[in-house]
Amino acid sequence: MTALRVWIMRLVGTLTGRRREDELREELETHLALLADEHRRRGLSDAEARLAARRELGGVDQTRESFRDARGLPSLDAWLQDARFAFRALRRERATTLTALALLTVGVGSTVVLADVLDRLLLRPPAHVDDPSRVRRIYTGTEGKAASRLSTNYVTMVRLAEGLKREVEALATYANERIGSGHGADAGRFEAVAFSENYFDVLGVPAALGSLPSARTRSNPGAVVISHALWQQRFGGAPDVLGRALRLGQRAYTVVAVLPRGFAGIDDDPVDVWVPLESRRTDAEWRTGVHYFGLLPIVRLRSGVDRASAEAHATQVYNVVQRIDRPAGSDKDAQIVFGALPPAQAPSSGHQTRVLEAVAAVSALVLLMACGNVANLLILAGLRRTSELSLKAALGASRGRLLRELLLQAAMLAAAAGTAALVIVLTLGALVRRTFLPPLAATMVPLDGRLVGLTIAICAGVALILGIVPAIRLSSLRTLVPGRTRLGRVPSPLLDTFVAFQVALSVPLVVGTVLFVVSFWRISQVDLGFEPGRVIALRADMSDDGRPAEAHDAHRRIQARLAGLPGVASIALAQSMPLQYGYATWFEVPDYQYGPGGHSMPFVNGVDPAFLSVMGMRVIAGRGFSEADNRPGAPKVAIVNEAMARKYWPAVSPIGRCIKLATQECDTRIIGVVAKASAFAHLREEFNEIAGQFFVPIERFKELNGDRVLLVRTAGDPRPMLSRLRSEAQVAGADLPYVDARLLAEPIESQVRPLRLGWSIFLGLSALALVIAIAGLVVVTAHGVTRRTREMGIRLVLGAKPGDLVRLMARRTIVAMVIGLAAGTALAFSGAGLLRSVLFGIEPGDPRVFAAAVATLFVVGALAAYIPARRTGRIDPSAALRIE
Amino acid sequence: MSPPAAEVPYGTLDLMVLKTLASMGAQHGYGIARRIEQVSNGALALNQGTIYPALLRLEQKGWISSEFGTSENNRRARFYSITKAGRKQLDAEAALWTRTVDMMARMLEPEK
Repeated sequence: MTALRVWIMRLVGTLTGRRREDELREELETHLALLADEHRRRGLSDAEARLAARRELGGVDQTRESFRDARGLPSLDAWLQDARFAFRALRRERATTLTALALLTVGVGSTVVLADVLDRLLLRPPAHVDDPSRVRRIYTGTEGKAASRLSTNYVTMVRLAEGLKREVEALATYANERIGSGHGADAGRFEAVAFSENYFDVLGVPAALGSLPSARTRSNPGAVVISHALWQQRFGGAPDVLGRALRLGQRAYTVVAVLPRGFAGIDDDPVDVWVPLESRRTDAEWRTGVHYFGLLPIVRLRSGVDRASAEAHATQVYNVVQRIDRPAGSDKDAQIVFGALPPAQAPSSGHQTRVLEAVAAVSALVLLMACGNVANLLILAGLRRTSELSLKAALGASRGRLLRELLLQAAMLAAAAGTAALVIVLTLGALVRRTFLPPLAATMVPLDGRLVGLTIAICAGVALILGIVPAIRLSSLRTLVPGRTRLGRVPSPLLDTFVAFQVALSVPLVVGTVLFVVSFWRISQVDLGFEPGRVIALRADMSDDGRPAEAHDAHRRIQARLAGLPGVASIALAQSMPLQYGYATWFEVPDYQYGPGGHSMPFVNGVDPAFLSVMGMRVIAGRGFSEADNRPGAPKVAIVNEAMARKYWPAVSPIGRCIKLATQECDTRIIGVVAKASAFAHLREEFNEIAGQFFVPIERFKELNGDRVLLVRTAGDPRPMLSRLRSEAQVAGADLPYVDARLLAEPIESQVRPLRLGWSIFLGLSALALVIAIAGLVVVTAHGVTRRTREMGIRLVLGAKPGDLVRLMARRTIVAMVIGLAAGTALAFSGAGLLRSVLFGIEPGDPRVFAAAVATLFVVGALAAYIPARRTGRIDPSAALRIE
Repeated sequence: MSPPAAEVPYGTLDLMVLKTLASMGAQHGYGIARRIEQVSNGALALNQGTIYPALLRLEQKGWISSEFGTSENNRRARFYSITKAGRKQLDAEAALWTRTVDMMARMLEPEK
């Protein structure tokens, strides 16, 4: 109790120290005066009395000193004093401090920004979800293949929920949909989730307003739940929004609840509205039919349930259910995986995850390099302060005390860099998030406690690393004996180690960059048989608008509106959107021997003659479509892709052969073959059987498939044209529902994205690393030159040639660098293997890559050593000898 | 922090100060020092300055309190007085001290 009181009083004393000491001075003066009076009364002279008084009181300074010790917290006082010293030292060495600060900010900043990206993508579950570790997505895969999201039907979901009662608290399904509303110029679109009754029970999200639909309450098919953002934008945040009407598609809904700010669904795109599944399913059998797909299940596990055993049981139940519902289905057993909620943790999104892990590791390397370099700078700055430190030591400062000052200096640098890093996260980080993250993850709260905590932890680590350097220096007492120290005697091997260390760390960066750049280049060179890069796909969903029969004419009207606009090179109408949807129908090739397991049918697409040129497909045999082919009543013709030709006519040319298409008559003649042109663009997979597809003229086969999509080839970059084309298309008819416009290459882009992410971040980071390494090499060599000026002067006098001296100076740095390169190559070699699955068209251990990386680093490093070393050649011997 | 005056046995200055204030009431630093010197009858060479850190320590512990007043030579001076907690501490310390002295006396008695 007393101890605490004393501590508090002392703390107060520390803060109010000045005043209390002034009061003491006054007290002592009074004391002296009273003593002197006493002595005078005893008969001493004035001067003698004062002298006697002083003697009796003892040393005033000692008194004040011990008073001061007792007054405050001596340790705190000393800390504040040391902090002031450290700050002054930093201010004095302004260039060093600023450089160190810049390096650390870059290092800490890039690490924190990337940690933020990783966190949002892989770790952080959506906000407001209750106990998110128990909420799981269901994936399914067969032995040896990465599991993909289970897409199933309502009845399967109900049976799964029944079978898994012991493990699962609630099981829901949902579908991501885009629902248009309005027509013509007023048309808009909502990102929607169509949910089953349990959806909000599984997620456990609270409502910001109203009450959420639940399996426990009576279902209301006309209820809509809206996002916080939609509430603000469309309803101006009105508190009486509940009960208001919202028209979506062909249906009017009533707002029953608003979700909290920060929750916008659990997938990549932020959701605007949530509507009951039943309101979006017109087919009477959707609850009972087993031939439906497209519903995504999520489950909430009961607390304490072991995930592995739940998965094992779910696998059993699922396979039993499948055998009942689909006896003719695949005979392979599916494995059920309960995946975590963050979408990027899906078992199949391994590429992106791998790249992100590599990127995180690499940014840690950059941070280490920055630390190494700053440590380097601090040693050099410390060398310049050797005499000051020796003086302090001579005056009785303990080594601990000196060490503390240097540590504080490092801590100050780290704290400043950490603050700057957080500012970077808030500014530059936003750009990184927009570029590399799916929209939902990008819009999460910009800064959360964990990120700040991480930054503080990183900074503490940095301060510790930097603090070890002065510790090493101070560990030899000799350094601190005044007059004994000479510039540069101590840490040369240490500096060389740092050079080697930095060079070693840059090798994996440069190797990684080369690997990614080559992979990216190779993957963008993959010949798909078409060039979707400049194609925009436009589609008005007429079926959702209740007028499927009008789709053809509506799209022809849009086509007429867009034709001839600047930037539009060519347009073609098609039945299904290439790369996105495939349509297959009854089809037969006469005399073809089908295998025992039935056969996978090729996809068929009805298209305009311009389709081949819009898509950039190449005819390798026969001819393309002519306008004459594309008329009702014209002779039926078809064009097949290579895979299909190879499968059905392996030995002969398919040209002139007939196929049966949606009829028993073999009346459709093949007139041409196009190269490759697989139905799905799997960049990493070789052509396979399922990739077979063929094309027929759309006007001749109008009834084959009622769906329509317009494909527009642009003259230049399609991105800037996207929204203009969309709004033009939208006003092509006052009765048009919302017209969707997207880049046809989207599905390809998502395969390329991990590599794009990899090469751009690796390139940026290795550029940073190179700058840091070069700075380190230059500083160390320049320091060596300065330190050995006198020696070089003597050598010159004794007849050494300037050129020899330059080589001598550069050699030391270069030797250190070569050792670093060797170590770095080993490091990079062991690390590159982890990227194997991500890379494309190049082996991670490719010796050419390593040779190129090492050669680049060597040349750059040798230059960085040589340029400052050149100064040696210009040393004036007479001036050099006068140094010191 | 240790009292530099080796002449005063370690730890006894605080006790002397408390006793002085308990028997004489509020006093300034000079008065306390004089009183201690008088009582010791010249046997104690007190370095009077050491009294001030001791006073501060006692005040931090809450055993004495202080306020400003005017000294006999019309100067501003800080007057110290003992608190209730201080009296309790004094009683406890005095008892301990008596016990210690008795024990030491028995220990040092010449053997017969």
